[in-house]
Amino acid sequence: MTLRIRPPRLGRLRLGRDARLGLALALPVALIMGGLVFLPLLSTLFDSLFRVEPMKPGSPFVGVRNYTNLLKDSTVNAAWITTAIYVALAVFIETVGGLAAALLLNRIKIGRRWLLAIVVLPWCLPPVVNAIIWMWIYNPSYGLLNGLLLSAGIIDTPQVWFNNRETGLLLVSVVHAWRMMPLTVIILLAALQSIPAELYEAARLDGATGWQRLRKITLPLIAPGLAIALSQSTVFAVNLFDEAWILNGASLDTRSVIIQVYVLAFQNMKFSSGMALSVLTMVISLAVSMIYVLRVYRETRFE
Amino acid sequence: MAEVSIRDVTKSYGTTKVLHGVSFDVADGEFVALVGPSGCGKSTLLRMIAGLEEISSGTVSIAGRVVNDVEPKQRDIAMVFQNYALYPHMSVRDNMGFSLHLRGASKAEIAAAVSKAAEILGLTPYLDRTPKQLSGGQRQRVAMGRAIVRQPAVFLFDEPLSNLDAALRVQMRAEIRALHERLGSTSIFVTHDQVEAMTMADRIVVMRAGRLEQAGPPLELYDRPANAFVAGFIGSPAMNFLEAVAEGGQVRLASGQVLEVASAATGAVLYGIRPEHLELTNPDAPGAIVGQVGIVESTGTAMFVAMQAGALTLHAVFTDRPNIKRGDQIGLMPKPGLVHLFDAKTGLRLS
Repeated sequence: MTLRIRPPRLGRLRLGRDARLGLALALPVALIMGGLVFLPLLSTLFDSLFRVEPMKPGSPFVGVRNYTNLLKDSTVNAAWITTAIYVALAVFIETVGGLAAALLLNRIKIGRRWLLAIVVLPWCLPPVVNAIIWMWIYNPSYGLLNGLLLSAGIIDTPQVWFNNRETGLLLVSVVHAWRMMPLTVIILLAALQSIPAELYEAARLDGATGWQRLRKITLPLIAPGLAIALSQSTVFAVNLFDEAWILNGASLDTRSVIIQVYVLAFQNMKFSSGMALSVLTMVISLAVSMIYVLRVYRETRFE
Repeated sequence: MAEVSIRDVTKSYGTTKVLHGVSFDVADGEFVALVGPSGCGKSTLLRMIAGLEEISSGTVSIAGRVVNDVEPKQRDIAMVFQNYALYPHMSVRDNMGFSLHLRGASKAEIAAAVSKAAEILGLTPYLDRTPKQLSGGQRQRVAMGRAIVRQPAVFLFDEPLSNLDAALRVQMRAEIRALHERLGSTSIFVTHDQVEAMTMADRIVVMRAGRLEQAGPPLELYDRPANAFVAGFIGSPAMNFLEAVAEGGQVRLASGQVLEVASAATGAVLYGIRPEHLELTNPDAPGAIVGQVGIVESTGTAMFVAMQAGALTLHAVFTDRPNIKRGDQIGLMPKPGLVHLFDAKTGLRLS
C-alpha cells in the first residue's frame, strides 16, 4: 500500500481535517433541527398567511387576516387570559417549591442520589399518565382530595372541583407544576452545589442570619440557574395542554391557548387560524424567556 | 482586644477522634502560629475557635468568656480563609462592608470604615471592582480588609498565603505582620509552612496528629525542641537524625563511630544535628563524620551539601562557599553544644 499525499488544491475553499470533522459531527443536529423544527416552523409561518380550511374550496392568500381575526375572537382572548393565569400559578409553584426542595436536598448528605431519583419521577411520567393519576385524585365521588379534606373536617360535602373556574385553574396548575418542578429542582440544585461552602462560613462570621444568607448569597449566586429554570417553566406553562385537556376537556373555564389551537385547527377545521395562533404562542413564549435570560444573565456573570 | 484560652479541646467526627485534648493560651495582642503537617488538626482547631465547628469537649474562651455555645458572629472574631471566600457577586466595597451592613450600620459609617481599611491595605483604587477582576494578592488583601473593617478582638488566619506565589507570599507575610502590629489585635495564624510560622509569630504552637507537640517562641523551638518531631519540623533544611547508643558522655553511631556529647544519657538515642551546625573539616580530623559528597546545591547565599557516609546521608549548609564538589571525601564536625539528643523510643528530648 502506498501513501499518497495529495497536493492542496488551490483556488478552492480548503477545510482542515478538524474543520471537516467538526462539520460532520454537527451535521446530524443541523439536519434534525432543520428538518423537524425550522422547516415546519417556516411552513407554518407561510401557511398562516393563507386561508387553509378543508371545508372551503381553494386556499387564497389572506395576508395577516388570520391574525387580526384571532385578536377579535373573544374565545381566543379568554384562552390567553387562562394561559396567563396558568403561567403565573405554575411558574410560582415550580420556582418556590423547586427552590425549597433544592435547598433541602442540598443539605442532605446521605442518600441524596436516591432522593433525587424519587423527586425526578413525576417528570419522567408521560404527561397523560400524570394527568390521569391526578384525575383520580380530583374525582368528585372517590377522589383522594375530597377524602382528605372531608376527614380533616375542612369541607362537609364532596366537591366537584372543576365546577368552579378558579379552583379548576389552580388544580390544573398544580398538576402541571407537579410534573415540571423536578426540572427546576435539578437546575437549582446544580447551581447551589457550585457555591463554595466557605462563602457561607464567611457570611456566618460576618453575622448573616440564615435568611440573610439566602437572600444575599444564595439567590444572587444561583440567579443564572434561576433564569434558566424560570424560562423553561414559563415556556412549558405557555404550552400547557395535556393536563387541562385530560382533567377538563375543552371546557372554556380551563381552556389554554394550545387547547384553543387544537380546537380551532382540528375541531373547527380552520387550519390556518390554528397555525396563526400557534405562531403567536411561540413568539410570546420566546419573548418571555428572552427577558429572563437576558436580564438575569447580564446582571450575574461573575466567574 | 482579647486573650484566647484553649482548654483540653477535643474533636471527634463520629468515632474518629481528630483532636486529643489540646490546651494553650494566646495573650492579648499576641501573634500565634499554629503549625503542623496537613491533617494534624490545626485548621479544625481554628474553625472551632471561629465557631464553624462544634467543640466535642473542653472549652474555648475569648476575653475570659467561654464561647463554646456562642454564635460565630458574637465571638468578636474575624477570619481570613485560604481561598479568600470573597462574595463573587459583590464589589470590593460591598465585600468589605458586608458585616457592617448586616449589623445595620449607617451608610456613612460603612463608607468611612471601608475607605479607612482600603487605605491601610492599598485597595482604594479597586473598591468598585469585583473579586474576579483582582489578582491573587489583591484578593488576599480584600479578605483581610473584610476582616479589619469589623475591628474584631481576634483575627483568625487559615493558611491565607498558600495560594500565592513565592515572592508575593514573602511580601504578604511582612504585610500581615505589620498589620498585626498596627492594629494590636490578637492573631492566630494557621500554616503548614514552618518558615511562615518562624518569621511571623511571637509564639508557635506545633501540632501533630491532633496533639500539641510544643508551644513556645520561634527561637526556643529551634534551640530546644521538646522532641524529635518538633526538631525535624522546625528549621529548613531539616535536622539530621542519626541512630545511636549513648553511654557515659559518648554516643556510638550505627557505623561504629564514637562521638563525644555533653550528656549523661544512656541507651538508644537519636542524635540530632542541624545542617547549619556541621562544620567542614579534613576527613582525618578527629571526631569528624567522614563521607563522600553527593548532591551540591548552591543558592548564592548558602550551599546545601548532602554527604553520604556509608548508609547515612547527612545534610549540611555552608555559607562560606567551600570549594567542594561531588565525589570529594570530606569530614563534617558537629559544633559542640548544638547537638540534640532524643530518646529513640519516645522521641523526647534528653537534656
